[in-house]
Amino acid sequence: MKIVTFVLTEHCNFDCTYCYLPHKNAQHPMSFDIARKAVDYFIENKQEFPETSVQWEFIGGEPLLEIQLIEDIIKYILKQTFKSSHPWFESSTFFVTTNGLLYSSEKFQRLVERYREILDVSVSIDGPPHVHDSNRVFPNGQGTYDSIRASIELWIRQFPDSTTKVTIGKSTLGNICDSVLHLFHLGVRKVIANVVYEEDWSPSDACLFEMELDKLADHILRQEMWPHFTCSLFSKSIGQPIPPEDDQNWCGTGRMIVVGPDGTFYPCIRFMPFSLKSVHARPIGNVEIGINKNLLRPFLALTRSAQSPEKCMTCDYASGCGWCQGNNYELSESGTIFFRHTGVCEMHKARVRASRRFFSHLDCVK
Amino acid sequence: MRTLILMLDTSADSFCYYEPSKNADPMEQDVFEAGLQLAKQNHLDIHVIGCQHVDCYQYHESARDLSFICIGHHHPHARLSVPVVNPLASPLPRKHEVAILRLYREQIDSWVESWWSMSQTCTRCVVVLADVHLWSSEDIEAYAITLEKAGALLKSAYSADKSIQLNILSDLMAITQANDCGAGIDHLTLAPDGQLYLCPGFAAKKLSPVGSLEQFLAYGPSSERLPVSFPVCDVCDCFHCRRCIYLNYITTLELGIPSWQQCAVAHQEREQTRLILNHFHADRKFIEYPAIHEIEYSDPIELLPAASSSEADLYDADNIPEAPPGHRFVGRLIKSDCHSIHQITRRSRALHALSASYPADASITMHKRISDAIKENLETKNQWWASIAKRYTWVPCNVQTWHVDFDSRAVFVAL
Repeated sequence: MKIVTFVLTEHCNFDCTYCYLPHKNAQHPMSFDIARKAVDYFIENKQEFPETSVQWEFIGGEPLLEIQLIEDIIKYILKQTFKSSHPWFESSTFFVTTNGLLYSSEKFQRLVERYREILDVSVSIDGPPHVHDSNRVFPNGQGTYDSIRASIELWIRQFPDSTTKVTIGKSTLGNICDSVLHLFHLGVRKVIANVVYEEDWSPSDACLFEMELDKLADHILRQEMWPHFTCSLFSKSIGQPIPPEDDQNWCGTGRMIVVGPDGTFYPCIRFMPFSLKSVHARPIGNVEIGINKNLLRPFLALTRSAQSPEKCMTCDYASGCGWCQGNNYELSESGTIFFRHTGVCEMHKARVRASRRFFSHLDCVK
Repeated sequence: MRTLILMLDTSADSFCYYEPSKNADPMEQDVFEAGLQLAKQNHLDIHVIGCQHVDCYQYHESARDLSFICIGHHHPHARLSVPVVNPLASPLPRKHEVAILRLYREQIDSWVESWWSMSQTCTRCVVVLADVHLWSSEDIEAYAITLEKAGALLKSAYSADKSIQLNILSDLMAITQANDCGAGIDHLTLAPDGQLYLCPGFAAKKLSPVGSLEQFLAYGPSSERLPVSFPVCDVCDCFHCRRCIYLNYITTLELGIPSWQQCAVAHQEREQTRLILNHFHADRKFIEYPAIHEIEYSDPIELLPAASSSEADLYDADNIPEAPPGHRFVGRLIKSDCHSIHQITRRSRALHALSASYPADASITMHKRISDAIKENLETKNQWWASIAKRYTWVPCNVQTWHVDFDSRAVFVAL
């Protein structure tokens, strides 16, 4: 599946403490004309985009600051793919990631009603109010949980199969169990969670992480939540050595295309100017000239071995250990994407150990 | 490190992929002398670019005792002069061991004649496709045709026992492993600004200096290898390609990733070399050189694995979801059947969404097209169910209300 992401605006109505976008601003909303040119480019160049299906994503900043634009783009894609009998007509899905503040607005609800069958929405929630509000705040520092509470309930009713992504930072490390259980109780059945890749996690962080995961596992097993609720922190496929011939990149950068507000294409939002602190942006084309194959090539050539240090290649816990390509690029001293920051190493090992215990107990329960 | 290249002027003619600086920037005497000192201190060979711009003999007495290679120009005192030839100019005035033929896109059709004429006075001709990163697919196809012509001439020369070399067609016969140009590892370039660069290309553009003369004189060249990954080249056997990190950098922003054009021309050259070798092997000639096998790709990036999908192995993956209200589970579809109904369902959803996007003010033609498409899709859906109900014995044929869970491929029917 191809993923095409529209960054509709670089503005956000929240000011989360861990936000990876250091240069948010209200100056660059996308125009419909730019979006239209991007859609035309993707639809008219079938040979360059042979994928049989596509997910069109809308992000920001906060994408719901541009609700009308979302609607205009969806409508345009449906119309153009239908008129040209493009295979993407029936295989297009649309995905919005929002902070939830404008979710209940009349305008967005009209959009949901119209496109519910082909639309998916994810609302970012970090956990119970005290956890959520410690990071997800308004620009004045006030917590946001109360302002989105009604939206969360509505969202779960409207999209019961949706997932939410929990980002675990140092300040929320001791609340993982509470956070995931809170989301389960709200009705979110699949919780995706990961520790932030930007941190240099210490062994004591890993120890706390493992304890939290054990606590969460205990709850899931004792309360027999496992048939109905899942959390991505527990996975059977992690923690095995990876044979050298299995040399895939972990991150999907380069396989997706991000369209910036000015029509520039990027391999991921993390390579846009408003995402990067100290290195140059890495565009891969634009709506006028299309994809620059040469600028895209490094991202397609990213293999595990080409960017990993020896200790990762021979690690017995290797599978499932991830990284953020944009963060790697930001931290590489020579401005290359062929570098792997290994700050999550101990956290991954802790996750593997907790995961193994969980499945071992689950097998007994089953 | 073995060699120090002294770039006497950044506007000196290029012998490689880079274009010289447009502004003259001659090397001052003190920089030149410090460069000589650095070379002497570290037992480095000296190559000089831009002798025509700066007469280094005037700078330093010891320069007369140097054994140096002069690139880009003929120098009467050089151990070896490697001239760069403009294919549109007259033939080489004197015999040379090596000469460089720098080509641009507009010379694709005429370079073979230039080379053949050069080969009468020059043992080894090094072709540099100076603007290859700007070539289109059509240019590369045209280049492939010229390689056939060059291949035929080379075969005639070898059949007549003439020992000439054309890098792009003869090198790969003998090279059986990567053959990097060595920039940043075997050699560095000292520019007039007193900085050391990975190669003259970086020096001409003042891109990413690796250190200053002062640092190098104090600490010597680093023994650490340049930390560059070459994932595309690592799976490629076009060993004659010199893996130009400058060209890589200006086209892909990564030292270790070649442009698609670079790979495409290298593979055209590989194929022509393969055919030349096959020709001689049939006559039991050149058997000391191993045969080159035929390949189907022209870009080794195709050999690299695609990104993995993120771990989706959640612990409920094998579970059958709960039946919708008023339904019961009857069985699972095979993948292809599930795919078919998934397509039909997705089309239905898209058509209804499209219909909802078109209020009454939309054109009647568009409304009709959409409603016809909805009807047609509904018929397809009914036909699908009829065929499934017949084929899967666990599906009651008379049931009209059914539901498929696409993730688990589970089928539920109304109670």
